[in-house]
Amino acid sequence: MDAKAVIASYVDDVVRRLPRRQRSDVGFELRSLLNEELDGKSTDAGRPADEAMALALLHAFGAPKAVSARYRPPGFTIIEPAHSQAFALWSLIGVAVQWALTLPKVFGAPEAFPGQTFSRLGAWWTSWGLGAFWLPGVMVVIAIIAAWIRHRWPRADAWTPRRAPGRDSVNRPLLAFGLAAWAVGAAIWVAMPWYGPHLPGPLPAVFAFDDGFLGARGPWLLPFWAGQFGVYAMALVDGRWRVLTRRLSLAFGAALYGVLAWFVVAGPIFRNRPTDAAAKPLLAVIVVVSLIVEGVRLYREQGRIRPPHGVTSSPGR
Amino acid sequence: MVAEREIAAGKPELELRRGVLVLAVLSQLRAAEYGYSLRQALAARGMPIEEGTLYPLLRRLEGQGLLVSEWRIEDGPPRRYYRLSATGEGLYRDLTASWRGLVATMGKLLDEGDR
Repeated sequence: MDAKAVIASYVDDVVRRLPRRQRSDVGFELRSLLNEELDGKSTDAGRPADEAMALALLHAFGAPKAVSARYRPPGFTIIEPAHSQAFALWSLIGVAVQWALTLPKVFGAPEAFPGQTFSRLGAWWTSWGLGAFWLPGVMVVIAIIAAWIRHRWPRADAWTPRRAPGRDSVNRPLLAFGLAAWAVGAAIWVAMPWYGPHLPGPLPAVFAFDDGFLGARGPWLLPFWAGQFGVYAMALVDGRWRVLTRRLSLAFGAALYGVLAWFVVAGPIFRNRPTDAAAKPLLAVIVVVSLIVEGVRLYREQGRIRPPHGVTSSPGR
Repeated sequence: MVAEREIAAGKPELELRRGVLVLAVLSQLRAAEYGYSLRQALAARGMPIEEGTLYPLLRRLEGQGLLVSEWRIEDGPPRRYYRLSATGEGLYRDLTASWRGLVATMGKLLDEGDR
């Protein structure tokens, strides 16, 4: 291939990535400059320009995509590097969760005719399979809007000190109210075997605990429940969370939700079947939500500022 | 590890040179030049700039109103000549003053570091 034809082909590849109004002007200039560069190299080498010489020049100049990007004014970042990892992670988790919830139905049901699983799989793909990508799509749209706002009003992105108390502070009135409600709820739960039989109408039969639960599993809840209550009470007295109370709370929380999860899977809680069937899903939801909250707390705990190894004094809290 | 590789590959020096690229180009465009002649002139004065960087840069500076250009046919093919616009001359003066201040400050810092 003729060296000039190689350059012409390269310039075409560059300019087709540019806005239409720029193409002719940039293309004409770029071709002229590259031809001049090639002539210069040919003079330096003391031989006529050939395809290999043109390719070497163009490789050094850069890939057409990169060169066309250099001709464009700088754009704005849609997903900032600091957020890209979390963006990718939440997108993948969101899609995976939706697939995990919907895909088992495709393979779980028995086949009415041979190959029905494949037809179900096809139907799943055009509904939930592809539909699960709504989440990354929504996240991208939100990121585009946020990026445009940052670009349009740069001051909107400026840091301002939080007026709210730090994350270790506790809202004492709210926590006191929460602890009181907690104590009342626990008392109602714990005292149910004693006052339950005296409730009016069908309620004693509806809310009677299963003997196995009451004798073997139920009591396990009490020490962890009391421990978590004590930790929150310590935070209320201190007015803030400290390293010890944060860690104790995490430990008691993990134990507490482990026991609740055990209740869900390990036999009846109530004697009455419909009550038991209604209570267990509710308990399962509470456990799942609480575990997510605990996971977030644990993640935040790991992200806290700590003095480097061997440094004992801290510049702040 | 990445930082070590970048240092080994001369990236800090590259970053340093990239920072003065615009000023170097503006300094040579008080008289009209076209892309290839400008690159030769900069290289002859010890500031080689890759063609893939320089030619798009000229267009971007023109887009920002710092340069003006025109096509001319002299001894050879048609060439696009660039020179400073009024805005470009103002920026050139400002950047020159900043650069001289920076050189003086850096000189002091480096001299103190050598002691």
